[in-house]
Amino acid sequence: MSSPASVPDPAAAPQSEFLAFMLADEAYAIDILAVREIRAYEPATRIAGAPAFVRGVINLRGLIVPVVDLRQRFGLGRSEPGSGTVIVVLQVDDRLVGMLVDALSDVIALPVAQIRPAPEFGPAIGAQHVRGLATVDEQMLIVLDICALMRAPDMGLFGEQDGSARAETAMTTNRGRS
Amino acid sequence: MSLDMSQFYQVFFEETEEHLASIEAILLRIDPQHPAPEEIAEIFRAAHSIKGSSATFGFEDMAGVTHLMEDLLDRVRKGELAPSREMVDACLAAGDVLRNQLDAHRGERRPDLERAEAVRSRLAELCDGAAPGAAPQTAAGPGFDLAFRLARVVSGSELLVDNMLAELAALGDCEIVERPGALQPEGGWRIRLRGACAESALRGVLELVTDPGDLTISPLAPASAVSAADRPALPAEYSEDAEDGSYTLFMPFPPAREALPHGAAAELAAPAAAAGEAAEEHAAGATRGGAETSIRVSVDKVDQMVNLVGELVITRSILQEVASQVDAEVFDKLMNGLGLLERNTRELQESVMSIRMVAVSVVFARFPRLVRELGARLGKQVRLRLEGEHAELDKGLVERIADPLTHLVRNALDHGIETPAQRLAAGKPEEGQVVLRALHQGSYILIEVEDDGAGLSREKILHRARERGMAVHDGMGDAEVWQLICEPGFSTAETVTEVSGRGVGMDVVKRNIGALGGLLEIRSEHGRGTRIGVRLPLTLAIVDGLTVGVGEELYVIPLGFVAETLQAAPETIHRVAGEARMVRVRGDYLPVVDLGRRFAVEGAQRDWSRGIMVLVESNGVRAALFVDTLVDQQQVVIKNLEANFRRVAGFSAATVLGSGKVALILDVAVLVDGVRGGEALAA
Repeated sequence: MSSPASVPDPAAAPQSEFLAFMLADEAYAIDILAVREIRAYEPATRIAGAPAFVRGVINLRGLIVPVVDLRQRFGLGRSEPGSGTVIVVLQVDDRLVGMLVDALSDVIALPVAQIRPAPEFGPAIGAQHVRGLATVDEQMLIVLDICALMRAPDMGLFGEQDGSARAETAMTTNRGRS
Repeated sequence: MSLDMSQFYQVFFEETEEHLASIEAILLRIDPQHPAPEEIAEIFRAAHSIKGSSATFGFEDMAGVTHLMEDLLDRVRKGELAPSREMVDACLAAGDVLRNQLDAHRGERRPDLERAEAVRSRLAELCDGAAPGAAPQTAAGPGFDLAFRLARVVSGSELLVDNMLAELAALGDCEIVERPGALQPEGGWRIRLRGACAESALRGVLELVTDPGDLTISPLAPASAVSAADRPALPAEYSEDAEDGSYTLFMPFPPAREALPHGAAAELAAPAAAAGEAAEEHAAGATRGGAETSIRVSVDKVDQMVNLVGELVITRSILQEVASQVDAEVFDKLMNGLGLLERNTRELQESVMSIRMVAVSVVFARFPRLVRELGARLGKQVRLRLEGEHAELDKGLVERIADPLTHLVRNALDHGIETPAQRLAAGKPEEGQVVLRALHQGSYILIEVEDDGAGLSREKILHRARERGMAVHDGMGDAEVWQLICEPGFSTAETVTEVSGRGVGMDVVKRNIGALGGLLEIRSEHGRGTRIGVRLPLTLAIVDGLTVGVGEELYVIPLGFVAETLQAAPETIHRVAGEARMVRVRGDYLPVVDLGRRFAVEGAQRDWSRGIMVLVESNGVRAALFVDTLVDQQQVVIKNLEANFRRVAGFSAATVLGSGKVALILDVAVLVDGVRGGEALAA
């Protein structure tokens, strides 16, 4: 796939290193600073009542960490664990979130200037969560603002934040009634 | 060879604290007139150890006080002196001073030299067999600047604060320069007192209500040379930046001069109240946990251990899986080793868990002293009975219930127990009783503070509530009325009456208890007494759980909610509107929560007569949870779901099972509430 040699002068912009990975046959990249660790795939404990793209929770050295199926979230179908499947553990603010990824590609250095603005993708991803597009080895990379995506209220991951907490209470009430 | 002594300091501090705690415990339980010889000997030994080790470390001040104590006790032990209540009081005061000195050496507090000197002279006098001398009322300058901080036990009680102000007013013209706001009753006071009273008289009043080191008395600048001359041998005076940097500290130097006025102070305060001098150590003193610990570990560290042990369990299961792939001979040996590892890990897990559990006596230990001092100060005779102090609960909880309990005990004495005269008039024994009781109830601990005082007055509370504009009516149940005293409105203003005004900070107490997941239960009978119960989960970290299987999934039901488990016979399953909904158990129809259906579990048992019914009870409502299988019953570590995720309806938390997999802990209250809602809908 991509080789570091093809990237022009990585030393000039040492900050912008990205982790590239595959979801179905699409290539994505996220800022490597958001990545806390990468773990082999393990089945998560399902949480009844959570949205379908939340695969459940896993035990990360005693911490309970949710795992998000990004494929499902982006409408690419449910991720089926294969040999390349890993869980990328992200640090978003003071929380940890796991993310199912079909395969890791590489760590690449990208000068920020190479990231071009992306056209509107529609509701599945949301333009505000895409930093732009980049081309590496003739392949298009979708560069995600992963923290913003995970923080988004419609992910429903961060229940405690004031607004969403209220929304959640409303949800529970509704569920109680139905 | 030069030895670095400082590494032994910590051991000395801890040992000395233990000795002091045991001295205090004995002093509080002995009969002052007829102490048992063993008890005297025990105090003597403890004092002797403190003396020996403090001299070794060069803490001469402590060695000095303990030396005097030892002299006194020795003479009592040999029968040369008759034991008396004054001696007990003096020894208690000496204990407080030692504790203050200990803190000072630790750099935690300012040493209170004056009080130490007073105690020394009192001990010396008692040792000489002399009655405390009469107070020579030396006229002082134009007045004094008083700067002090009230002890915790006092600051919350308006009655005691008023008493103090009245006593000060009797000594001279009081001008309150600064007083703490209602929100921070423990803040600093500054009072300027004009009048020709003796400094010792001021001390007599103020030492009763302050902690050692929290009181500064400095004379006002003399108006003339004459009044300056009235104060012979003015000790070295220097200013020190106090907390607000505004007043000077009067630091007495030559101890010889101090002996007189402080003998006087002691006399003024004697006998019962004298013990109060340094009494209010509780605030700082008792949090150190009395006779309990010799090693302190932060709960965080223990939690870390719990996590690590969990990881160990998981690592073992990985090894076990690898072992199954090796050839048979090696496999056998490996399995033996793994079996051992498993047992050791389990034991390790259990002992780590048990570290978190401590006896409530750690909290209770502060109360005998508090009740004694507060009772003496309020002029009430109170006996404290402790029950079930060996019940254990989580360390984290112990630390956080201490304050609410102190509040409740203080209220029981301040407002519950009547004065001896009132009690006699009501046909009760003069001496009131406060019972502090702890008992286990399932996975809860109930701590009760009970007094046989006047009880709450329903009419007065309702009257008060109306004044405050609360929505109340006469038809309210007693329990509801009692809960009114926990309303914020009740606590701010002056007490309703001395009898019924349990208002002081009850809202805070209730909030604190609530924050721990606990409940406050109030029961009271007018004229008979009040019982306030605090119901707390045993621990915030561990729960006894029943692990159940639903399809391929595992869930944990907190055992505290589980009444029994049974297999339902087909004829006991009842249908409502064509759908199985209830199960009959010994004549009762219980709603059923089908966990497989509720959580949409694939492959879960649908036939109620083939799985297991777990009967649960929550808030007085009974229901059955239908599961496929019972798997295990074990203690599980509670893991917060919200730390990295969010609250999910139906689950209270998560835990990590021995396999390393996460299992969710059911929120039984919500599930049971859910079926009740369902019933209402069906009806």
